[in-house]
This record gives sequence, structure tokens and C-alpha cells, in this order.
Amino acid sequence: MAFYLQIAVNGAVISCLYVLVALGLNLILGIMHIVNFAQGTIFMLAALTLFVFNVSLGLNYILASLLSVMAIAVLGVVMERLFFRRLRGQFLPSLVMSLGLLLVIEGVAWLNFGIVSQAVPPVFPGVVQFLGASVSKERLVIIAGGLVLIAGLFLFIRYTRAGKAIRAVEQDPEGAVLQGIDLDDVTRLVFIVSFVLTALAAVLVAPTLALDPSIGETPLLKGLVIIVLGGMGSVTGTLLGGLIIGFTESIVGTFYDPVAASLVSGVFLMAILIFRPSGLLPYRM
Amino acid sequence: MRRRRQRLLGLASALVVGLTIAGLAGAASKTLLFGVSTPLSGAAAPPGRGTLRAMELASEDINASGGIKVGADTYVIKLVAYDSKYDTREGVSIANKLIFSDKVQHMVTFGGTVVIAVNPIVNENRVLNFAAAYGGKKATNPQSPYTFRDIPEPEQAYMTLMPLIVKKYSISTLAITSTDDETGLLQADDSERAAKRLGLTITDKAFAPRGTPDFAPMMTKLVAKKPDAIDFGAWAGSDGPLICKQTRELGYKGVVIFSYTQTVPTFLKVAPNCADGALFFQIFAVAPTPLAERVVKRYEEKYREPFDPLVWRQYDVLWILKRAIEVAGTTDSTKLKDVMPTVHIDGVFGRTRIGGKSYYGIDTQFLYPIAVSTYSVKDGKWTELYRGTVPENY
Repeated sequence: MAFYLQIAVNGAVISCLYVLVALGLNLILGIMHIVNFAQGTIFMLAALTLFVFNVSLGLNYILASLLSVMAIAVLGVVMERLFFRRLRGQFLPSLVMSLGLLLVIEGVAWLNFGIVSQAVPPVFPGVVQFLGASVSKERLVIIAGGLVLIAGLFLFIRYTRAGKAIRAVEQDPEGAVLQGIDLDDVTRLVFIVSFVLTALAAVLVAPTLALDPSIGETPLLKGLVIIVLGGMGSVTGTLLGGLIIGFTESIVGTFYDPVAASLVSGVFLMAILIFRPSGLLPYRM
Repeated sequence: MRRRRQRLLGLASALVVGLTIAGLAGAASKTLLFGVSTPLSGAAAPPGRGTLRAMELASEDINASGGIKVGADTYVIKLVAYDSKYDTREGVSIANKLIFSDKVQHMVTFGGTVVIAVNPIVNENRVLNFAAAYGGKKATNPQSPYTFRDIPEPEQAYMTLMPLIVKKYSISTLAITSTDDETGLLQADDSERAAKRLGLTITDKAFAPRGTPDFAPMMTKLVAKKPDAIDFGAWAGSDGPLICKQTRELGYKGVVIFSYTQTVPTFLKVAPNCADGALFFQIFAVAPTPLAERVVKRYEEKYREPFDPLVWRQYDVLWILKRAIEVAGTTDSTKLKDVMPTVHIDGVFGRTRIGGKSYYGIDTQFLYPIAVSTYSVKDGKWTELYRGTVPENY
């Protein structure tokens, strides 16, 4: 029992991280039709700025996290305005732009951050014993925080005026403009929400990781798999895709190894592309 | 006119003096290019950088002490270093670049998989390659006489210290985890064989790629079998502390063994609490020799960072090479490979010699005292548990 509970907890932690990053990716994809390959570097930058505020400058974790998320939100505004606004709707140029940004940001991070991994000190040290399973408090915080953020995003998208504007643009950009919605405002907002989600995921997970400029690569890769699996532009699909990938990694990773887990995720992805190319739950914001 | 002539004469004299000095210097001093292929990015970067820094310190110390004397010539060592990223393709490309473009005759290569991949190139081209690597008999063997290993393998560590550890901690079952590349797989095989010789039962083995961010799923199964001890094999750099931390979070309370030398500053940054009570091979509580103490001081002065004990492992390499060149009277790698097993130095750990024929079939293994230490987080102190060396006829 404890063994299977442990596997379930592991799966929930992995799912929460991947879902948050994938939601950020999917929001931008749904509104701007851009696959932002730089999203992994946003994850990395958020974690590294948290390290700078928390460890280098000695601020407490909560304040450091807030400052880090705010910095990333500002970066979202800047990147949208400087690099992506003029490429809105142009799939290939925006893809190349995001790849370029990925290389530049990661290169600059390697040069400035150095090659030695750093760490944010544990914020919630210790483990909790539950029905024989051992779960670190840090991981429980990731699950709880992840669930709150996912629920918050759902409520934001569904019930707020800004969320409704995002949905309107996603469903029919021209119709939304005719209704008086400013497309530039919405795309800016989408970048902010997307970057903030990714940054929140990063600051939640950072105390459990060894930090270096490559830490965004896995969340980006998994995030891309999840949005294809769940359905491009679909929030509920992203959630479902994240759960499938997270629990697959946990189960297969436990009984076989992490490489086999990635293989199985890849097989899922191929099967979806062949039999249901628009994803499990397409286009439902 | 007269002033112009004087100026010309002055210039000519300066030129003559300059050329004479340059000529004299050229006759007396030559450059020995030494190649360094080591990971400087990615998860293996911390130990990779330790290797480079050991080479930097040793080459500076050798050059400062008068260089390497061969007859009338004095060689100063110049390093040519490249980032291998712990990638075999990159490693092969670097070996080709070092041999054919930089024309090095002597080099160090970090990482078992990379060493195995470059073995044909370095041996066909008769380049002396010092392997900062595991890789067992696939890395060093009679077919690769130019490849020397400068770090102890699990084979030597298990033979020397594991019987004492098994007895002290009453270990009867052992789980092994390691990297899923050739280095890790070979290391796990070697460790398993050595552990079975000691009568231990292997409960399970688990492997994953370097840089894996979440080890929890893989370690869940390993921990569920409740081994008395876990050997964390070839995990190094930031992977070592991370996997240890995630294993402890799964509730594992048994003995944690790091048979691969960890990058201590990185370990204490990433997972300080996991160092508590863990067993670390080749970490000495205090500098084992006055030379080791000097290396610590030099390191801290030069890099202004806490000392990384991993640097000690590779510091002796260039000194052994210097000794071999001076004994052979040449820098020719073919002659050097024959001389190497006959030389020894007073190195950072004590007496450093080259042997290993009884196990590898060829004397290409650096042999020096091995230690195992444990760390107390509360006191912030290391305690050396045991120290030993392999038999003289090893």
C-alpha cells in the first residue's frame, strides 16, 4: 500500500510541475499561435532569480519568490512587445525567434551563472509519514501550490473579464476585435499570465532541484509533449495530458527506469498524433 | 644627421640584444602542450572543472619550480583545454583536435564513456592519455597501452576499504544505483562483483541518465527493498547530492555510500543535510600530506573558493609525467608509457605509483592511499574512518 501511495505522490508532483509549464506554453499557443521554445528558459530564469534574491541577497523565500515572479512578469511584457507582437500568427518566424531567444538566454545564463550548480535552501524541510509512505514537505507544497494555481487559472479564464477576453480572442480574433477587445492588450496579458505561471512553478520546485542554466530543458520538452497530447490551446486537455505524462513517468520510472518512462510518453504522443491529431481534448478553454 | 645615426645605432643594438635574449630563451625553454578534455558544462561540470583546476595548479607549480628538464632543454607546460560536455561525440572530436590540430602528445580525458570512445584514436596515434575515469577493463587494458587511469576504481576501493565498512555497519544487503552510460554500467558490474566477493546480497540496481531532475520514481523501488546500504556508483557533480536528497526524502535510513569522489562544495550547497553520516570515498578529513595542504592553499588563493578535494585526485598526474619524462630523457610518448610503471612520486595522498597488472593485465593504474570519510552537519566536520592501499603486487 505504502509503495503504491509513494508512486501516486511521485506522479502528482511530476504532473503539477509539467502542467504548470504546459499551461503557460498552451496559453501563448492558443492566442498567438506561437510555440514558445523559450518557455523553458523562463522557468530557469525564475529559479535563478529566486536564488539571487534568496541566497545572494539574503531575502526570505516568500519575498524572493514574489520579486522573482514580478521580474519574470516584466520580462513577459518586454518579450511580447519586442520580439513576438509583430510575429503574431506567423508560426515559422515566431518558432525561429523563440529558438533564438532560448539559445541567447541560456548562453548568457551559462556565462553569468557559472557551471557549478547552486541550491535554494529547503523552505519546508522534513518528511511526512502517511500510510507508510514518506513524502517530503517540499513535495507536498508543490502539489498543493500546483493545485491552487491550476484552479486559479481555471477561475480566471472562466469568470473574469480579462479571462473572457482571452477566450474570445482564442475562439475568434476578428470577432473579438469587433466587440472592442484590444488584441495587443490581450496578447500582453497572455504573456504575463503564461510567464507568471511558469515562474510560480519554478519558485515552487526550485528548493528541490540543483539549479543550473539547463534546468528548464526537461519542463519545456515535457510541456510540449503534454500540449500535443492534451490538445493545442486546450486548458483541460493540458491538465489531462499532464496527469498522463506525470503518472506514466512515475509508474514506468519506478518499475523500469526514467529512459523507459520517456519512451512510453513518446509512444503515447505518437499514438495521439496518428489516431487523434488534434489531441485528447482540443480547443476548449 | 649624427643624431639620426645614433638613433639607428640604438635601434640596431636593441634589436641585437632582443634577438640574442629570444634566441637564448628559445634554446633553453620549450613548450610541452598538454591536452585537457573535460566537461565544463552540464551535470558533470563540477568534477570536470575540478580536473581542469588540478591541471592548472600542477602545471603552474611545475613551471614555477623550473619546468621539466630534459638534457639541455627545459620544458614549460602549456594547457590546451576543451569542454567535452561529458559527450562521447564531443570527446572524440576534441581528441582529434588535440592530436591533429594542436599536436599534443600527452592529454587527460575525463569520463569513462569518453575515454572508451577515444581509446582507439589515442592509442593508434601513440598519445599518452590520462583517464580521469572509471570504465574498468574497457578503458584500461593491454590493447590500450597509452591509456593510464589516474583515479581509483570501485575494484580498488571495495578491495581496500569495503570489508571494514561492511563490518562496522553490519551490512549484508546492498543496492546499487549509477548512471546509465557505459561508465555507470561498468562501475555497477565491478561494484556488484566486488560486493559479492564480500558475501553481500545485491537487492536491486537502478540506472538513469546524468542530469535527471527527479530520481524519486527510480529510487522508490530501490528503497522499497530495504537494503542495508546503497552505493551511489558513478553519480557525480550535482547529481550525487540530488539523488541522495531525494532518496532520504523517500524515508531511506540505511547507509549511504559514495564510492565516486564527490565535489564537496557542490554537495554541501545542493544537499547539505544528506551529507550527514554518508560515507564518502577518497575524501580525507584533513590534508593527508604537507603537499596536499599546499595544494589547498594554492587553490583557495587562486580561485577564491572553498577547496574541492576532488582536485587532489588529478594533481599528481603532471608530476608523474614530469618524473617519467626526466627519467626517460625524452617527451616521446612511446618511451614514456614504458617508463611510467617504473616511476613513483611523493604525491598529494602519499606514495603514488602505477600498477594494476594483476587485475587489468597491464600496469596503467595509478595507485595511492584511499580513504573513506563521513561528515557531520552539526559540527561541520569530516571524520576519516579508514585509509588503506592495495597490495604492493596488485
